[in-house]
Amino acid sequence: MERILYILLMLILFSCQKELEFEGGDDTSRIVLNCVLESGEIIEVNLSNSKNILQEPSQYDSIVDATITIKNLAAGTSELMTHSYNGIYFSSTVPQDGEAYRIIAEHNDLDSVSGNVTIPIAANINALYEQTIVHVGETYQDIIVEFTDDLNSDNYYEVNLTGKVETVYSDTLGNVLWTQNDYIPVPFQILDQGLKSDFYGTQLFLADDEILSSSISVPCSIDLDLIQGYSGSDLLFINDTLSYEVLYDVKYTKIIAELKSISKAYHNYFVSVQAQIEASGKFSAEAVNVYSNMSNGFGVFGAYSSARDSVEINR
Amino acid sequence: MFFFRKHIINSALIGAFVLLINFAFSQKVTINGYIEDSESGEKLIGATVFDAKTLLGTTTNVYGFYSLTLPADSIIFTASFVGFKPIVFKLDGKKDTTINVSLSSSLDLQEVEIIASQSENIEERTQMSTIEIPMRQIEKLPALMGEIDVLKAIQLLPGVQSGGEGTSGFYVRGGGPDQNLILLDGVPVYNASHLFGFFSVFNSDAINSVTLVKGGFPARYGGRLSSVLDIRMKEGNSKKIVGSASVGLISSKLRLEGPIFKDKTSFIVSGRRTYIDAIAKPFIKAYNDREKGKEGYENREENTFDAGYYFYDLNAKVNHKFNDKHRLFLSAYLGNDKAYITDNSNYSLDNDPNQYRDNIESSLKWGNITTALRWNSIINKKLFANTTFTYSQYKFNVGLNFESFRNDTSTSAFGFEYLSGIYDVGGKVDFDYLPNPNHYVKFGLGETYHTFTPGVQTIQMTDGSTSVIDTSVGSSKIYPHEFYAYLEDDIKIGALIKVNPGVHFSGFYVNEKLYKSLQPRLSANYMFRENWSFKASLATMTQYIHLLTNGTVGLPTDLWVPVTDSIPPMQSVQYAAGLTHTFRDKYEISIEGYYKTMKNVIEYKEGASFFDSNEEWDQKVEVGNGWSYGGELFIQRKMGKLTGWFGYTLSWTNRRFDNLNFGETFPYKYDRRHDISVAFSYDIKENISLGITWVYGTGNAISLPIGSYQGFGDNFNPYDVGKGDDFRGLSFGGYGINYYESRNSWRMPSYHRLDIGANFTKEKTYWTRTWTFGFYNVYNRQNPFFVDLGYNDQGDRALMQTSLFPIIPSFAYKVDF
Repeated sequence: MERILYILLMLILFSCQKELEFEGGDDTSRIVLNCVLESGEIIEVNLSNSKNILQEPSQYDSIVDATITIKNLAAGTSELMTHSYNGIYFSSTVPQDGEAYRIIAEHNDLDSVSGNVTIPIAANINALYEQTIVHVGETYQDIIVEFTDDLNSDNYYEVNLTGKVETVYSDTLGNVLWTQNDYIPVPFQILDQGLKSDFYGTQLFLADDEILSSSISVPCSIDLDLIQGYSGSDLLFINDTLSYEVLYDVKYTKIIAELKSISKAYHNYFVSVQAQIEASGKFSAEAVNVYSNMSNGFGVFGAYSSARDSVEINR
Repeated sequence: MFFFRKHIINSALIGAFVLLINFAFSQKVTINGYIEDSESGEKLIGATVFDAKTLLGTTTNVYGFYSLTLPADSIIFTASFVGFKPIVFKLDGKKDTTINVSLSSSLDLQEVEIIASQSENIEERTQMSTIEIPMRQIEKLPALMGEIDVLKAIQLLPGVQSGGEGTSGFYVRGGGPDQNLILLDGVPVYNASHLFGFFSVFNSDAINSVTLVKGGFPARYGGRLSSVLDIRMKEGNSKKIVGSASVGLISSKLRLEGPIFKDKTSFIVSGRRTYIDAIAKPFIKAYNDREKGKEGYENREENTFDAGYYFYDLNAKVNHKFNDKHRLFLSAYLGNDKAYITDNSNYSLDNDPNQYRDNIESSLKWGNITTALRWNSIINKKLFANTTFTYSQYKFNVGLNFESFRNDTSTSAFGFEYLSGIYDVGGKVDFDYLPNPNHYVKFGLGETYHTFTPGVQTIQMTDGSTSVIDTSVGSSKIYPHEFYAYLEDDIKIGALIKVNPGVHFSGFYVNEKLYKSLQPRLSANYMFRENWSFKASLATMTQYIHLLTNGTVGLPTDLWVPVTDSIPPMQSVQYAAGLTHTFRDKYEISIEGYYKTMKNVIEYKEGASFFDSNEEWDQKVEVGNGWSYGGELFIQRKMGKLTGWFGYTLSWTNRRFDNLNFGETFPYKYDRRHDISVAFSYDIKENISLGITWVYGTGNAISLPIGSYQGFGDNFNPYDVGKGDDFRGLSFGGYGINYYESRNSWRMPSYHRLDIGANFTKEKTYWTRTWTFGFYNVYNRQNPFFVDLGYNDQGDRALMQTSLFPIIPSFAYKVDF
């Protein structure tokens, strides 16, 4: 009897977790091409290798010896891109609104990849203004971005806010020591449940099938505490020795709203990347496959044109 | 072709005319009544009544009622039921008669075999895709931890799949878990799980019959797309007081039933409670003792930590017979699960004369209540009515309270409560009309007033005596009306053909919008040779409520929600055809093929999780389509020393959503190519029986990444600010991106398991005792519960499988008195 109980106990302890042989891993290394064209800016491409899922993901190998050709399909011109560093390639071509491009990356040991994109024509910001609102007992500063969509064409948009942040450092007597300006993405919320969008903290994406009216108003609600700024003091050390105390006063001086008219590939790629990142931290979330418009490979060949406007913050 | 069509139409017209003449001018008598078990008074469902002379007959309905209209002539009245001695006697057949029949159970094997040939065989029934499992058979099968479970037995049937290891959720012919209508005495049960899905809420002691309908739905059923599981409670012994008591590994049960007024009023009460919490008490006490004086807690003067889990349920039923025509039933189910943690500690601080106390209480509670008040009335010899008023409730509640005291004065408190649920009040009336042996007409209508509470959170915070926060957020209650009406007729056309045409109309009124649906149904049976038949069916179904669930386990957080503007009603069309055959009077074989399309099914959006609380539920799901097809083989032996079945299913189930998997078709999570189940019990001796089940299933489909690559990077480049307000660009070098070949493209290892059990019964002076021993997962198969990428013992990235149940022995001791 004792022996039977012992055997049963061993069987129970032996259960729980075991390693499975994973036969489905992708051992074929493929080219990953990441490139987003911006109207009026030179073209920059990043090239790297994909890996089997069982390999450590921390380091991806850059591809430094590929041949990348960028073609302006309307003009019929093409250019070989130049490798600069760590798999980053540049071209002197400067794309413009409405132009269509094709990119091809070739390598001796890897399958060639290619993709096409057309640079969207920038939409204008019709109005940008701020207002204070109260939502469920909380006060927010709304930055409202208004623009017009052409319902007859497929359009995708991204809205983001960047704060110009001024930090004034002074000594304990109130003498200004120096002033520093930074640009940082501003987190906001979309409290308007009627606006269908994909929203990720500092970026709002609008897909063509979610746009139901030609007149669009995006209310970006910012936590009022963030806008109001803050102050404090720091101890400065030089060679581990206390040098002096500085006071700082941080405040937002300007909010820059950027309305990007983005290509479908850009939209699908960034929305799916964000969804995969968010899903990775959730229990029982359904898996997200990231969109790619690169044939035979991975990555994105996207494009955008942007319009900007800003509002001054005086508090 | 035209000739044949004309010939068929002419034949049908002539046949109808002859029938009309026959009914108009011939003398008829109607015999009706109830058939019951002579020992307990329980009504027998599906018992056969026929005239041995003309071979015209019928079967009892779910209330044990029959009505048989025959030519006025001498009649050899025969009533029979599997496992009971038949009754045969002669009637002069000159006037309408009510005959209530009591059948005695038979233990004699020879007699049982004779009876079988007199019961309605599978090939004689119009309805297809329907399986009835005798409770006596379920009770003999081995069970997880000795808990006999109706839903686990259902999972062993072809066309039915289990969700995961040990869980009681089930998936029928490619449908989701929300597409099964589970009825307890005609009342919907919204969450049929105890203990996070490992046990069902149905206490086998209180159950009389279990019927599963997978397709070919008669018009009387509606409201779900994939199946109807009709569970009927016992009515209570009307002859004498009987009962049972049992002690098992995790729970104990008690059942008592008997007459209040003999042959007039009877009752049954059956209860069950687990004692996992009681078993855990000594371990918790040991933990508390160990924590006292532990480093870091030197100032803790008293600490009381407690945690536990239990569930209980109670079934009760009273029925009263006013006279032969009117009976009243009141049945109720009450079941609750509770998991709780409390932690109270008294402590002091160094150099502080004050005494401090922290109280933490948290709990997770969920449960169902169902109630049915039913009135059976025989309006006339041919018309039977059943009027039912129902109430059903499912409630889920999470509570967390934290309060700090200084010298018995509250210094701060925080309270959180989450409540979700569904409450139904309904009424329905069903009629059975049997004008003659060639027609069995059923019609009726019903209405349900739903109240959905899709999740309300209440937060309260006080700082001493001052209220800091006191707010409730969440979706508001929704009050839809659901109603239906139906008409069906089971028609015999000659000796070889039976058809059951019907129509089910339903509507759903919610948020000032009316959804409605007309659903035609048709089943046909052609007995092309002796003991063989060909069956075919068409069923359209509409479902107005959805279940938000994580799909793998029956969590109490599963949330029922109604249709909305963005989530339309689900609809399905199912075609099925098959052959049925009975041989040697003991074996039933059915082979069926089916094809089912499902419209407007829901799935979570990619990346969305059940636990996202910052979004409205309808923002987290996508609407798409699904389809399933396959074949099922079922061989059942219902009598003799060896009883049980063998089932095999070959099936394909797919889904397609515009916004999932880039619009490409993908396999459903429970797409299972092969599914085999073997479930048999064998009576070695009169007092010893063995039970054995073996299941095999293709592994579940899951999404696993097969590669990874570097993402683009941040949308904002913090280093490119040299241009002042005109900064530009995106940065490279973002997150690693996982690459999935396709949604659900990877298969878990196959699932298979062998369970065995044995029952040893002995008659004592005043009672019968039964010892039950069993082993779950006899050969200790490490079946996959979930599979994920992780790290192995060597620290390398690897695919890791977690299993749940190893070999588990069980025992139970039961006394029947």
